[in-house]
Amino acid sequence: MHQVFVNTHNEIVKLLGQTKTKISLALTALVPVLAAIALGRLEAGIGLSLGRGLPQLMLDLFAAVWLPLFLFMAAAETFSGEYAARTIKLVLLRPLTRAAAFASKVLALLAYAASLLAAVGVASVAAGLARDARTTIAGLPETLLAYIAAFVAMAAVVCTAAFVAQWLRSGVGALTLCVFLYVAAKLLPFVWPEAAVWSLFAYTDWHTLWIGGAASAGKLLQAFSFLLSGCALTYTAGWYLFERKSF
Amino acid sequence: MLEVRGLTKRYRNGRGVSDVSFDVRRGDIFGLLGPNGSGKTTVLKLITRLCAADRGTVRLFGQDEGDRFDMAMRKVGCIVESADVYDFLSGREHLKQVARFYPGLPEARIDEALEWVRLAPYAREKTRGYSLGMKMRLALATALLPDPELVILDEPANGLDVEGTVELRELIVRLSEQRGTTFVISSHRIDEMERICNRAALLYGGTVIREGAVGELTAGGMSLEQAYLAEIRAAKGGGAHASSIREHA
Repeated sequence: MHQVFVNTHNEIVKLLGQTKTKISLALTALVPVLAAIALGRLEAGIGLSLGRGLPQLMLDLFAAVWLPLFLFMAAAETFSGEYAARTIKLVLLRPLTRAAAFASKVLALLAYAASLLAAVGVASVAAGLARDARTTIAGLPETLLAYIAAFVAMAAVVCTAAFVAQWLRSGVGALTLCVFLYVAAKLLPFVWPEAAVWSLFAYTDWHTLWIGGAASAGKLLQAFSFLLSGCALTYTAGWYLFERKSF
Repeated sequence: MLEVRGLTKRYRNGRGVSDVSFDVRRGDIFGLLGPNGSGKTTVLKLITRLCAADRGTVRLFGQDEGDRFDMAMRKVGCIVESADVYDFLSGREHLKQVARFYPGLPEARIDEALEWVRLAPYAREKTRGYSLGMKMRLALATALLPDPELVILDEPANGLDVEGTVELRELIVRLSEQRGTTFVISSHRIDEMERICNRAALLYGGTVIREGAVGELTAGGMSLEQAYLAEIRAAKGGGAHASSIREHA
């Protein structure tokens, strides 16, 4: 267990040491502030009303596109990027089992997902308070619930990306494949509506179900179970491939 | 300390190693010697489980590797294939990453390792600015940092200048004499390795063509390089076996 903790720490240090991670985190914190300014001007200019709090609006935007993209980039770098650069050996030649190495890499990615969500949340709540303090404060409990729910969906994205990243030995290739699969999963329901039920990526907006009592407890539990099962399946499949890989 | 028996690995391109066996004893400086493509790196990858063997066994510190590989690796320091580093970390950050795996390792050990490989002045620089030789020295520092009982080095002189090569040789001999550290070193520089190794396995075409004490391999006044060439000729069927040359001499 100690080794998993140590390597998770190392993986987080490596993630934060990369310029693209710093830029992603900075963008994630900056966009809600810029959005608050732009929306304030639109409201004043043409009387456009959002109809919901800024933190929830930002979560809709980030959970659909930006967070999956940033997580794909991080997963591709953490696995395939390290295979390509051969730096994966620096991890595997330490006193650490492959299972622990895989677990710690996924844990680091989950910590990154939580950091991104926290950055969006904190920045958009702060911007929301400056824009419309009453609505933002009133919506805080639901906002918190929505962000926690979004983390579960992002965990499914992380586990799927960690699995897909095992197929290729190039960071760019893995990122491209992840993005392609994500876009395909998002577009497929337009021609085959049933696909939405079976795709993990279709649940990136499931946090909306937690807002305003939009869904019954049964439906929430069903979606939660599906996401959890998806995480378990993709994690196990990714671990299996990682365990058998030659470097 | 390290027993390799019948190690076989065939890649899809048909290359690999076949039936490789040798023993490394405590305190040995063991040379795994052969030209490029002879299978040295593959053998080291199989020992360190970077890839799985088709057949054969490896026993490390008297235990089957399958038992508790991670525990065995606590006492092993390695460089395999190349000195790869994270270019966005500094030399010191690299060593800190490694040090975290070994609870109780004093912080001063990092400075000591940096001093050994003459990287102390560059410790805070990002490794993207390091030369090939500096990266190799950093890799050496990471291998030696936890004070391992067994050090596995794959072509450690790659990228090192003359001064660096001599220092590496001296460092290996010093650690072997003072701390009893065991070394397994792969190299195509047979002449260079003859100076420090006490035992060696000669590899050719993915198989061990001869293994033993360097004194035995070079008996009869031959250098290790000459002995190796004679063994290759014998293996190809185009010349006398080194042992018969020695007997003749």
